Amino acid sequence: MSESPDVIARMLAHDVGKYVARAARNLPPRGAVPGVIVDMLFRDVLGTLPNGQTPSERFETLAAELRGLDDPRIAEVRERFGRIVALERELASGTELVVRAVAADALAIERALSALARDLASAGPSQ
Amino acid sequence: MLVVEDGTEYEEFAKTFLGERYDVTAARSASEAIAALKQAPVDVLLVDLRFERAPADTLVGDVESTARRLFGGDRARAIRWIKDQQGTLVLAEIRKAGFAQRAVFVHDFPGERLKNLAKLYGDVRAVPSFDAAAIDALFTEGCA
Repeated sequence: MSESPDVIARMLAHDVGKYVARAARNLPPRGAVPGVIVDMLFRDVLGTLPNGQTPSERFETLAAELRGLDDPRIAEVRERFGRIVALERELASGTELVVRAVAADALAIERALSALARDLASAGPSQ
Repeated sequence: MLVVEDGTEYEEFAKTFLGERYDVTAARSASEAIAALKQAPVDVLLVDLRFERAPADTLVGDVESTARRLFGGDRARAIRWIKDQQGTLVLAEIRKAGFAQRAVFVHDFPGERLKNLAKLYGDVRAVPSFDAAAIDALFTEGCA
């Protein structure tokens, strides 16, 4: 792949950020989270994308294309994915506290990647 | 609501979070969408932008012409471009077929691009993320 950084950032926001936050953004504001939404959240953050990668693997593949970019949001997203992956078993069990913690990380990932895409888009046009 | 996408993510989202307010049907291509619109009344469209998984023979768009005009004859880049824009090309076909329902994309379009889409395709809105409340608000905004 030899895309420009703004194109890679756009792919990160779309392929990773948008879809990891699909269920997370729509949790009921309080109380138990229905099982159907927990299952969707699980698939959003840990499932397999159409290309066969998990979201965190897709993130790493694309982030590798941004190696020269020293942006703290890349490390932040990596750290949040690490937390999500570590909570896989607890998330599968649907514990409310864990569901909400994972959803918060998913939303933060979306925010970070969207902001990165916007910043790189405004920094200059694609080559 | 008619969902138009190449996978099932939008459909699952719509049925889960908007299914109490809308009857959700889905189409995987322009021709399926137009057939669905002819078959039953639809109030709003929820349209995916990128159709990365769609088989080439279901895509709207002229690969040869796009390759020649935009990519110096490079067909692979033309196909990728057509897949990346497929939602808007599908919407163009829907409009050509005479259907003017509000279309909502879940995509973080730059403001100018969204304005251009509205100029080309009429009632077009967008939200940057899968936000059921925001999508519901866009579906009903300005409607009697």
